[in-house]
Amino acid sequence: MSTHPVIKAEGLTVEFGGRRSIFRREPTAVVQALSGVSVSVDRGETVAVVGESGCGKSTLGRALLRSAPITGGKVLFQGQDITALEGEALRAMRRHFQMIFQDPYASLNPKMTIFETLAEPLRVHTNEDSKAIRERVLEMLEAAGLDRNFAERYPHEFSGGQRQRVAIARAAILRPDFIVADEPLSALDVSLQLQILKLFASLKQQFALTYLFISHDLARVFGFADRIVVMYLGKIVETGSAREVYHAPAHPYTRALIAAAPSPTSTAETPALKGEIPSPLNPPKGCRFHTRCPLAMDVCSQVEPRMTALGGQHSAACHLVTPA
Amino acid sequence: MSDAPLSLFLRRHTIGMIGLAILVCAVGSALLAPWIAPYSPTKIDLMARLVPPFWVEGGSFKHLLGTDNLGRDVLSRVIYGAQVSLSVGAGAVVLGAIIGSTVGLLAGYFGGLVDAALSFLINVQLSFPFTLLAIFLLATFGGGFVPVVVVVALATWVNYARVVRGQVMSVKNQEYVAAALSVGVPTRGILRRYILPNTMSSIIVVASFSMAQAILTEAALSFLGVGIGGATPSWGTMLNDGRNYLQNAWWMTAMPGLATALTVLAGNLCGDWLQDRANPRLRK
Amino acid sequence: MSGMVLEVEGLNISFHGGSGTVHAVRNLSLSVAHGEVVGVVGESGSGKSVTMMSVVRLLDTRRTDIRARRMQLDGKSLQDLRSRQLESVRGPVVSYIFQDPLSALNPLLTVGRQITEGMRRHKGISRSEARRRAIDLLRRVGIPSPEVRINQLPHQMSGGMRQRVMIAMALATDPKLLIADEPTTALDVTVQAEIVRLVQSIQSERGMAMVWVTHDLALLAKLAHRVVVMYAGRIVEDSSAEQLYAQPSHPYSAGLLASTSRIDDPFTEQDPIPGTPPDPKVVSPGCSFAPRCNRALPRCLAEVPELSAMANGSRAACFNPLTEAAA
Repeated sequence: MSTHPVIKAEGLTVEFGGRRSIFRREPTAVVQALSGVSVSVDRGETVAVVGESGCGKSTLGRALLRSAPITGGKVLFQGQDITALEGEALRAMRRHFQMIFQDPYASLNPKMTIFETLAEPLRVHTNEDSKAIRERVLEMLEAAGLDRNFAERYPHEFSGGQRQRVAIARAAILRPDFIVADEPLSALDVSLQLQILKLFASLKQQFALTYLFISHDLARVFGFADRIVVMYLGKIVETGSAREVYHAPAHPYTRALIAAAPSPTSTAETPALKGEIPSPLNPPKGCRFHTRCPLAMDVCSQVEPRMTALGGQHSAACHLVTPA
Repeated sequence: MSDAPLSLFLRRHTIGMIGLAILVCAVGSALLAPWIAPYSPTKIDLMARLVPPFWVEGGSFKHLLGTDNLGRDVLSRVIYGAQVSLSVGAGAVVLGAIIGSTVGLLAGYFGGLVDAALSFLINVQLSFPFTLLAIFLLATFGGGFVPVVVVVALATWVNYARVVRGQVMSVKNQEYVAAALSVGVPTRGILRRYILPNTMSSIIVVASFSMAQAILTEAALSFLGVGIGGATPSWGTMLNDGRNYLQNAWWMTAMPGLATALTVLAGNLCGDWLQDRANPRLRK
Repeated sequence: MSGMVLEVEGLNISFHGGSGTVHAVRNLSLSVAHGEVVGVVGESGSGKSVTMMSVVRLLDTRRTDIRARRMQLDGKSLQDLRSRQLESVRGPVVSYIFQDPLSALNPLLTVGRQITEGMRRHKGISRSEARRRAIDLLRRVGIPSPEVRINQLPHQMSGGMRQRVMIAMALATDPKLLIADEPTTALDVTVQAEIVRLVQSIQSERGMAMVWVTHDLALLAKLAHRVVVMYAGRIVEDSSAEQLYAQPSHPYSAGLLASTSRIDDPFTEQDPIPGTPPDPKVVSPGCSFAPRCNRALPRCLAEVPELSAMANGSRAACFNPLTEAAA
């Protein structure tokens, strides 16, 4: 029984661009999508990664699945370093971690039936015969809340919510050790969002799944995730259990996110954040949030704050917080 | 029960249906030639040379479209000619599609050096005067069915390659391909189940336009005397034969010319129709 | 001369497509008073955007069938207006903000040009005066260094800034009614909060009427005086914002509220509305929500409920509402 976390990132850095071409004299601009990010997910946990555009949450999800180029740092799967894994070895490894994408209208092959789409992971990674595969596909369809008769139909015959169920079923069918869900609810209507969230919860129970749930909707994930990770411009600014972060948000950005989320009953005036989100091409020096922070001090523009433990699972990267 | 859906369908897809109808006639002629042609295409009747079509003075119902300089029935020759033209067309289309699509698939999917090399090849072919090459090849290796099919395929493969390459490059970036990659589907599986089926509609559109081009090319080659040869006439050889009789026996050229033009038109109409069909669904 | 800035009565909109007729809006009646902020909330297929687009005649009339007993903007009937007359209405009376500022703004014209265009057309002011007002407007909508920004092209700005530009454009002609169609859906949540705050202050400053279309019920809480809930092309509830959040009458409104993500109460278990929205091509004899409703009576499947008054002052189209009907 492994005591390692299912997936762990250590000082992960992902950069895009910067390729030199024989036709250009200067290299193209480098975007640091992730900068020295360390995070781990234990078996059975649901960890939510939240943040706004450019924070790097999607890149983190993809990097953990080795679907994004890693420039620095390490990714460890159950203690094993998979950072440099390539080719056939990496491909075979993929049965252990799967991804669910945001757009249900784009993530299913329009030329494959639902059955073929769900059978694909089984055909690629197992040696099961067609009868066994058929059994598992139909079982998965039912678990995902879809009628067994839908198997022979094509994606365009289904609504967004149903397609997303198929995408989730595809990710879960191999009972992977780890699933990254990249904004799986964002393209759905409000009432469907809750239905699909319930599906996530029921599948987790049924198949003992572990999730990394990426979302921009903070309110949704508080009730659903065990732990929250808040990101800003390629860095983690706060992390803790859902209740810790909700009841005592330590980082000014987390507080701003919570205050900005629409709420029918709160009457508090939302504190304004100055300016706009800086371009990831040129992140601010020191604490990346200091240009917009209402509480910024001199040190914030010079020294990058380190993650400070605040007790329990809670920690934040801010010069203003005092350690527990 | 009204037949409204059918008539609605026909009304909306008139262009395509016309094209399809003509093609069906052409294919029908080719397949049913022995039964519908009034005479053998090679039967020489020197007593009935240069008989005009039935609606012209001097014509008769014995030879509806007239006869040529050797008394051979033009209608029968046009009907049998469909066999050659269409089989060369079909053969060239299939061969060209296989070569061209493969090149396009590899260039589009792998990019980099592979793409650079294959694109260079495509551009070389495009800048080379094809007719010259065709004549040279056929003159060197002789005429005959297979060489002509190969040469015509060489004329058309580039169309497929360019279109498929572009299509593959866009399909490659679709999220369902990323999803398949993250599932762990190996490269050959990606190409076979994800890329190729999603480029099929483009290939079919190019094929219908290519069919027309193939038939025209075969006619041109036969006209130039480097075609199939042999006893069974092709529309191109008929055009060639009729060259010297344009003044006094215009029907020798007009009839095969009309047949060629109609078939080429049909191919293009179908191609247009298929292209329109492919796009609105994508837009939805 | 009525006191309403917008009055719509009996609106029916249908699209004729290849696979059948889509009944997007069915017998809809809505009125907006001067200075009132009305939120229109619904999910996809509810017909909320289509309704508003028909008010400003943004729908393609060739394939769309729009019929209404009455459609009046500031007392003047919209239905007999010809295109040229329509121009005198768009701008001075009503302005429209779209969801995606990138596609709604002309990529080839500077921001200043786009703002002053409408201004000059409707008010006939000089170019320099229009420019001065445009800079003021940009400053008012919170764009820093407006004198510089005014000469920029849309792609040179961030999403939040582009949306501010759209708001500036919409305000340039001093409209009596501003229709905002999901203006913050594509924006980050902190930017959204800023835009909402901005629009609120402008609205109260100018006493402008506003219709805010959205799928996010929680967003309208602080923004709207009144909220209208749409489902399958009809209005199912029309209530004051306070009333709706405290005590929704229609089962769909209650279900929608229960499904909305709530930062003020994230840990409470929520129950989703079962099933899926109905096919807009199918016209059901009864209430469109009945198949998914846990309060459905036999009557609900046979008759379409009309909007009727509830004891708490709101209106709901339901035979078995959650609150008491008015006596």
